[in-house]
Amino acid sequence: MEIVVAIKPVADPQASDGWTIGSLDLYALSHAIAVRDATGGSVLVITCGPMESAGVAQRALASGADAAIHVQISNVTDLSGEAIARELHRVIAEESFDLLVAGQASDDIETGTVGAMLAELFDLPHVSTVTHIAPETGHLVVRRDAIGSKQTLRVPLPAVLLVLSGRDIPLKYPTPRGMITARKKPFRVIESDVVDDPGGLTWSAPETPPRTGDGEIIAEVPAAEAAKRIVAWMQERGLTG
Amino acid sequence: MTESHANNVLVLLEGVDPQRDRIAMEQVATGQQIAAATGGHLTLAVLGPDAADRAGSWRTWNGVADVLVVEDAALEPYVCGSWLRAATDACNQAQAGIVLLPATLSGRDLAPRLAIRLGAAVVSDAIGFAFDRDGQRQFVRQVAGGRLISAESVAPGKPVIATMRPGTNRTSPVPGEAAAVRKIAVSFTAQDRAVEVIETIEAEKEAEGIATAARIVSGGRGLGKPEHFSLIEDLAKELDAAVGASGAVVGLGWRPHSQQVGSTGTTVAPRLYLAVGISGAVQHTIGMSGADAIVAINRDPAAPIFEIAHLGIVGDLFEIVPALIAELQAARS
Repeated sequence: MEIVVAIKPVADPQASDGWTIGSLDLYALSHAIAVRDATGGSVLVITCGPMESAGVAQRALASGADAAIHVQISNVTDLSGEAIARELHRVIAEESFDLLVAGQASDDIETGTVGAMLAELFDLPHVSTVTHIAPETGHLVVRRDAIGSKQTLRVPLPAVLLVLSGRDIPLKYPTPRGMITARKKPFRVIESDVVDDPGGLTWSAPETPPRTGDGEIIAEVPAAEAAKRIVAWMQERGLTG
Repeated sequence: MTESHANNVLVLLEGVDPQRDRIAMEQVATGQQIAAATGGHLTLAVLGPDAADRAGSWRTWNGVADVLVVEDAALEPYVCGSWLRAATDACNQAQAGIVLLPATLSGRDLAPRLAIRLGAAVVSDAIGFAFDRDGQRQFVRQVAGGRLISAESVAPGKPVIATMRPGTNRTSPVPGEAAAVRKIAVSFTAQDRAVEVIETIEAEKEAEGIATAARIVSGGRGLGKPEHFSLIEDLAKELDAAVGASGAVVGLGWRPHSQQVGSTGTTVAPRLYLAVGISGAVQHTIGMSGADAIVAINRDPAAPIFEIAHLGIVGDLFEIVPALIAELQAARS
């Protein structure tokens, strides 16, 4: 099966180059590799972000993907989900695929819109909050978390799946051996700066909201003192059993 | 879309009983407030297999010009294709410039595709509406797991789909005259129905432990490693509580799904909910905000869990939890 994985690099001060794969995109990549290993075919990773974030695509190759394209957009944080979805659509439309997977949302701005928009732009069925993907002949059997239930669905191909969880599969991280083989895998960079954002939105820089909660807050006290106050608070309300 | 249509408001309801569904009631109240602010028409759309029966109870809210009904068996259980078709037709009928959906799993699933199909902007997880300094329609939304807020303004005349975060509008809808109910006939294509739900397992059955527990101690990513969950288990034992977990750690495979509290896990309403190392993203709080008493332990004073906690402790859980276990043991002996 030919699989495309769309990944948004997110800023991470702890990463060596300051960028990492989002947690849900990591699950998407891991599921894609598991499906490929079961069916044959290939996994093509598409990342989208500034030049400095291209290492995320290379690490995806070192984790087991077969090829990667980094769509270099320097102003990615200024763009709407729709602008990003349309750029990804333009690039992915050049490739042939049976399955497109992405994380349910990024770890930073988390609008959770790009994956479903891609499905609409490709006019393909999609399923979100996916937890497991089992390939069958000509279709997939997919498990997802719904409100208060778990569902199993039959999904025809081609399709778009948005992944919520990696709990049922081994997660794929770069390996030393993978780092070596990654150098020989196809990797290219497409420069693509969006000038006109079709999203119809302008937004302010994120800021800390004023506190609206009215609960009691205990801060900067030693742990033993905090513990005493928690127990007293619970006992007053008859909560300790 | 003309300028006047841009002020019309459509609230898409998930075909539910207003007596039971707090989220749908909240959506109607928000719709009333936005329509009052914009001066536009307010339309409700009820979608579902028995939507016509249910529409009657939705027609007597103040300011509602119309109740649109799409009734079809294809709308239950939710799959995006059928809902997208029905919602698109309802939006076109209502000529709405502002479409509200709840920021639930299905609302957030539907909104981005609906926006592309209608040529609309989309705002996720909004918590409020206002006009900005230039008089444009503006939604405030949460980002970074609820730690930060950002205000998003919509271009003049552009329709906008907003998913509204449940639990942020505590007012009730205002009753009024009965509105007209109009049924829309929707033709679903084979592709709309391409995805088929073949099995549904109710989570409550396997999550008996947390669904009915009087006390729950839940752990999140702040625990750092799956083996640190032993702290949560020890504390739960002292309190005779069930063990819960955030979606983040269940997604990482640290804990079974049966322990997951939140929008993709189990909704709980215990007497005591103790959240340890859980930041309090909306996906989690939607499932536990109904607890009688919420105690939160987190090192980040800006963690959104402190917004809903009745008692919040800012500090290192690796020091506080062992101290708390010792204190509970001392209190008992």
